[in-house]
Amino acid sequence: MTELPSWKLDQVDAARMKTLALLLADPNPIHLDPAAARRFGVADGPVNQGPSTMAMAVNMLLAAFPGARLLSYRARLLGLVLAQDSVEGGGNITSREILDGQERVRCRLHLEVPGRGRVLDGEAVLVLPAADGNS
Amino acid sequence: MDLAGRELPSGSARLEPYQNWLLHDAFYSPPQSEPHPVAAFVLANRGIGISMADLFALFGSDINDGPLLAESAIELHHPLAEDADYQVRGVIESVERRRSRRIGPFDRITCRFDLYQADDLAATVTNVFAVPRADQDGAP
Repeated sequence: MTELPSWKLDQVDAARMKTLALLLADPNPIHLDPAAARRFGVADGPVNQGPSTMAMAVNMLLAAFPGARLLSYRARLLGLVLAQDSVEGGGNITSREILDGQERVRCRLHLEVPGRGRVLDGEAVLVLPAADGNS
Repeated sequence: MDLAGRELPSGSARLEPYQNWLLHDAFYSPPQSEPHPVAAFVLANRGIGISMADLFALFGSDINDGPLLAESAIELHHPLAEDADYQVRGVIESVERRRSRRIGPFDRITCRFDLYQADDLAATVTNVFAVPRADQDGAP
């Protein structure tokens, strides 16, 4: 199986969580307020929203396959990602097929926070851009 | 209360160009006119005709009581578009009682959200929530 290039986000940004809370209409204070995350015994700092962690893995895939289009994606969220964490990812290609003249790749992928372990695993199917640039 | 099979109130959502820009940025993605694939999650969340707080209340939980997004699946039948209206329909597909060492008894609640653009199914988002439940003997 071909491995995906390794991927890293240097630091999770609490300010982006606040923007995303507005865009998601998600009122949960653990994404906004470090005191709330501590008060609920969840974490010592703001907790990244699940869809943001999911988006990181998609970013990793789209960096590995520039111009590709995501068709399907399934993620299991296994642990918390906190403000100021770094996040590392990897995965591999499990199959390739040509369908309707387009190459599709299926990948397994994962993200982890160094020192705390795996926070996401999943799989995805992408259609790759045609050699002439039309996907 | 039997939740499985219950349809959720439908609604609609739209990603304005400035919201699309902000969402790419919030997702650590270079802003561009085509929305990030995980924007489907955001459109489903915003477009379904029930707030997150009311959805968790329907589950018999409170957003502050620790319901967790455990899994999510996104199928993109067509690329998403900014500045487009999406009709969002949702249903609670299943409720399963489970137990974990970390959170004790919980309900695994699966909800499916279908996003339609002009009657075409554009995307399907399936979210699985883990909703902690008290033990039957009353212990948390």
